[in-house]
Amino acid sequence: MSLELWQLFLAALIYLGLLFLIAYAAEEGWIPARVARHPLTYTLSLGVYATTWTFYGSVGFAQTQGYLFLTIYLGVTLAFLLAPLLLQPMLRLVRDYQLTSLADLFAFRYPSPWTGTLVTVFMLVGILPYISLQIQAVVTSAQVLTQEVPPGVLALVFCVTVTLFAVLFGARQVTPREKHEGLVVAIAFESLIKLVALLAVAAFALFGVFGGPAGLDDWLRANPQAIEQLHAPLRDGAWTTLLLLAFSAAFLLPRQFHMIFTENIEPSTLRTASWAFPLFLLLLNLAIPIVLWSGQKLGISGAPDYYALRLALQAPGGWLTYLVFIGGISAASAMIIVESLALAAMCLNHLVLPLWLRHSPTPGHDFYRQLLWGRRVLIALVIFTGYGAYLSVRDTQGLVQLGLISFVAVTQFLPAVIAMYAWPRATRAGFLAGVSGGMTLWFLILVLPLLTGAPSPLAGWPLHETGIWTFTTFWSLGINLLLFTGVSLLTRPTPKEQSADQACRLDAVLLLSEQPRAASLRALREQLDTALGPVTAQAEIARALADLKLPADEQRPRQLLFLQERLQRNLSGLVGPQLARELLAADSSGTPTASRLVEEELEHSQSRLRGLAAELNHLRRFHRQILQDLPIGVCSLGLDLEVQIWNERMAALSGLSADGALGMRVDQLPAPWNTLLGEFLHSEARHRYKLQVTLQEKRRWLNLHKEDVGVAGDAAAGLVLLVEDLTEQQQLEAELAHSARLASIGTLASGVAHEIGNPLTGITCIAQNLRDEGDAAERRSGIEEILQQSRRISDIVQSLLTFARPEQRPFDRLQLLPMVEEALRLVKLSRSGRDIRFELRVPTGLWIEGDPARLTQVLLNLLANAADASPPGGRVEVRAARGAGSITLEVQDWGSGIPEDLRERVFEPFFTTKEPGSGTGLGLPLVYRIVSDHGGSIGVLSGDGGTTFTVRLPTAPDSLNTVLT
Amino acid sequence: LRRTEGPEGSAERALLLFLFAAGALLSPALLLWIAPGRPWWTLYAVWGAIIAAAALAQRSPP
Repeated sequence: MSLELWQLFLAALIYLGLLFLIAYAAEEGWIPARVARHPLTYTLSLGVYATTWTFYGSVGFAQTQGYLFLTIYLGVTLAFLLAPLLLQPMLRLVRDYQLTSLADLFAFRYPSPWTGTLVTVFMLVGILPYISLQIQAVVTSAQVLTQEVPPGVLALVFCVTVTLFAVLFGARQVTPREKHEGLVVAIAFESLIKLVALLAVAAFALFGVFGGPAGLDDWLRANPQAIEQLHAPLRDGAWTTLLLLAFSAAFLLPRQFHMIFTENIEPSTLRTASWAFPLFLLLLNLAIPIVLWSGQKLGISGAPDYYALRLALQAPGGWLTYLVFIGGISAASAMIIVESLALAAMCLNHLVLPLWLRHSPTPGHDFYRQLLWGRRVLIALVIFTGYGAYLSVRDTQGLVQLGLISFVAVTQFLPAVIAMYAWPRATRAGFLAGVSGGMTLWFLILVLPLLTGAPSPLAGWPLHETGIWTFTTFWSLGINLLLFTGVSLLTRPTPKEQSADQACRLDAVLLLSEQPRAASLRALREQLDTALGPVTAQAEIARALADLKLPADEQRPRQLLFLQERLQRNLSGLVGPQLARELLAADSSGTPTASRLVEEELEHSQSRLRGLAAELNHLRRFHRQILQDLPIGVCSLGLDLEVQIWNERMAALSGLSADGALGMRVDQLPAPWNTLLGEFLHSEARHRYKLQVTLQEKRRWLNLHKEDVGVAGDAAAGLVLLVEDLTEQQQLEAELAHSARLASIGTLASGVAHEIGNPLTGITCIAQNLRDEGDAAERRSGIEEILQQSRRISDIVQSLLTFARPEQRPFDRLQLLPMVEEALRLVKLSRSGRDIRFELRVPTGLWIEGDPARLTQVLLNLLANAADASPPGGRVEVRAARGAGSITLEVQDWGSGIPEDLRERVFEPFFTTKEPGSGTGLGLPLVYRIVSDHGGSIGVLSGDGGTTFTVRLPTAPDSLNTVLT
Repeated sequence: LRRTEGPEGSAERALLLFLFAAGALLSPALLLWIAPGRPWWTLYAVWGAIIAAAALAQRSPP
């Protein structure tokens, strides 16, 4: 069957039109998000790896190199097996720091104005032959079908169409950091077409040419050299070298990096892709030997690269021819589209923008639109440069050769990628030297002969007999590694490099980069205004504020630092990491920060921590939780008095959430906390007790404590404030005191009633008797009795007054012994004291200060009580001794003692253990009051064998001096 | 303070799987798959087994 040129054009146009429709449908949401974001869609989009080299060239590769063609896919399988170690950390890095290309990634880890530029130039040089390969494959496939094709025109039309698609669906969003769902779905669709086309042609070969699997087996038994032809090159070929090249290409080819990382919408989909993508490649490659053998069986003429197409021509109906042709178009177009997008992003961020932003005196009004159109122009430029490369090198090399040239080029970046994870000592100078050395050898051995047609000047170097790929890979990677490690060891990593290294390494904590702090939002805006223009600067700041959910008038220094960090990441997605760093590092008004806000970054990075670091972080979280849940307010302040910890109790007390308080300086806190804490911080006192504060319209009592933490210069130095809320305790105490007062009043009232009631009853009875009494002597006796009872009442009232309102007189310096002797003399006059033997063991020279009358009253009461408690003829002993700063006086009797349950009540007013009428219950309370008024204390020890009252009174000052000296 | 197994587990599994796969795809194991008399699809079967192991490793909880 032969096809007309217009039929091919029509088929290609219909297919590309369908592709446009699918991409548009995905962008507009006509294709559900669950389909567009499904792991299988993402997996199929990675199929951009399978270009015309796979689709057409693998058959030719298998013809000449046997199963070596599988290395290109087995290497990818090995790379994807390492996804948790290699690809997922890179995806995290790319997403966290909004890196949009390989050049961004290297410029992030090896920060230098030259890094991105060098990577971009090398990628351009390395990938352009690959792009030309795709154009060549499309043109040749059309020529296989019809000889009418003018190659240049067909290539041009193809390039224009894919350029249009790439511009419309690959550069649709304003900034490169946005995802392109339409592009992902369209590329996934193209992968599906490739797979279906190759499997269809393999099915036709199996059943149409061999008559089924049994026929194939028969043919292979009859032609054992067919299998041997596939096996033989593996025994002494470049199997390992090609595996290594494919391993690197799996994620270092710009199109692979773009689809795996930049266009990744859901990070979890990479887990599925880590096995599903190798499965896709396996299915794709199952067709290759069958197509090859069927071509051999049929004796198809021409290059084996296009056996699939020539075989399809044998199929009846022509549908298979169209399908395979479309499969080839899809393989080429997908590669060119994605590759041009990735290269355009690199060119913009690392070739165009550095010149533009550094040298343009006035920023454009609409920077975003300028960026968008800049990218679109660059996409077209990349594709048409590839077209130029196609015109200059066409028909000189096979598909595989051109592809492998690109593979060797991107493998030069493998050492730098591995060093990102494993070698903190790697420096940008080492990177630049290593990559430059490796690429120079790559150029001299592989590209120069391609351009000039002459042999390489290095063709005579050792190992040239091992084959071009092993030879080139060995020397280019060897020189690369040597320079990379050597120069890295000779140079020292800068702080920026160390910071980037920490962000990259798997076992390290992600830390905020050290940079000057912006003084304010206004300063940040002015800083960006000059480079990006006011509109873009405003939009980027608003975006960063929205990302962090911060208010538009944010002033807190800590939040400003976060904002600055977020801005840098966002700008990295817009203009690349190097320029973003330069734009924000230009500020000199801010103060450098020593604080790295490790806590926040630990929270962010906790899933990445391993081993001891993870355990320590676990412990840190545990302790932090305890701090958060403490029932006391905890507020930690940095050296500049910024709030660093504001626990939940503090938030509840203040009504100010932790989010609102963190980062504020103390003077920025809302009233009354700004003054309350501010005054306390500036005072000398380390504690303040029972401060009355009105919080949320309620009176509260607070204790404040402060403590210095760490020392100046230490990142963790600062102050810790503890705020203790005593309000509930205070209220309880007040209630308790009120209850005690009520109880005391009750006891007092009943005591008064009882003590005064008895004589009153007596008076009333006597008065009633006197009313009818005629005898004068009886009347006189009655009146005497009334007077006696009245005196008793008067005595009670006087004692009560003395207890309630003691008469205040100035204290005299008194010797104890004479007072005790005077009291003893008075007691011996009473009825109960007459029969008691008093033993006096009070030394002379014991001096106290006090009111002599009231202290005599104390002694009198204690001695009288002891005499009352003693049996007739009993003994009472009075002892005194000097202690440290006090004099102890003991009055001991050997009476019946005080029952244990009553012992605590002996100092209560009107409580007495004596017979009714013989005691008022005011004696001991009065003693207690007088002793307290003299700054002393009184205690009682009692048992069955008697009672001892112990009084301690302060020594007179002179007396104390005498003792001390 | 019990710590659950994190990404460490999946990374270790991935590394082990990679080493097994590299062992299976490099000489001398490679020579086993392409020895005379082996079916032409033996290498594909080894590849498929590696993919199946990777799929199982990914599906099991970390």
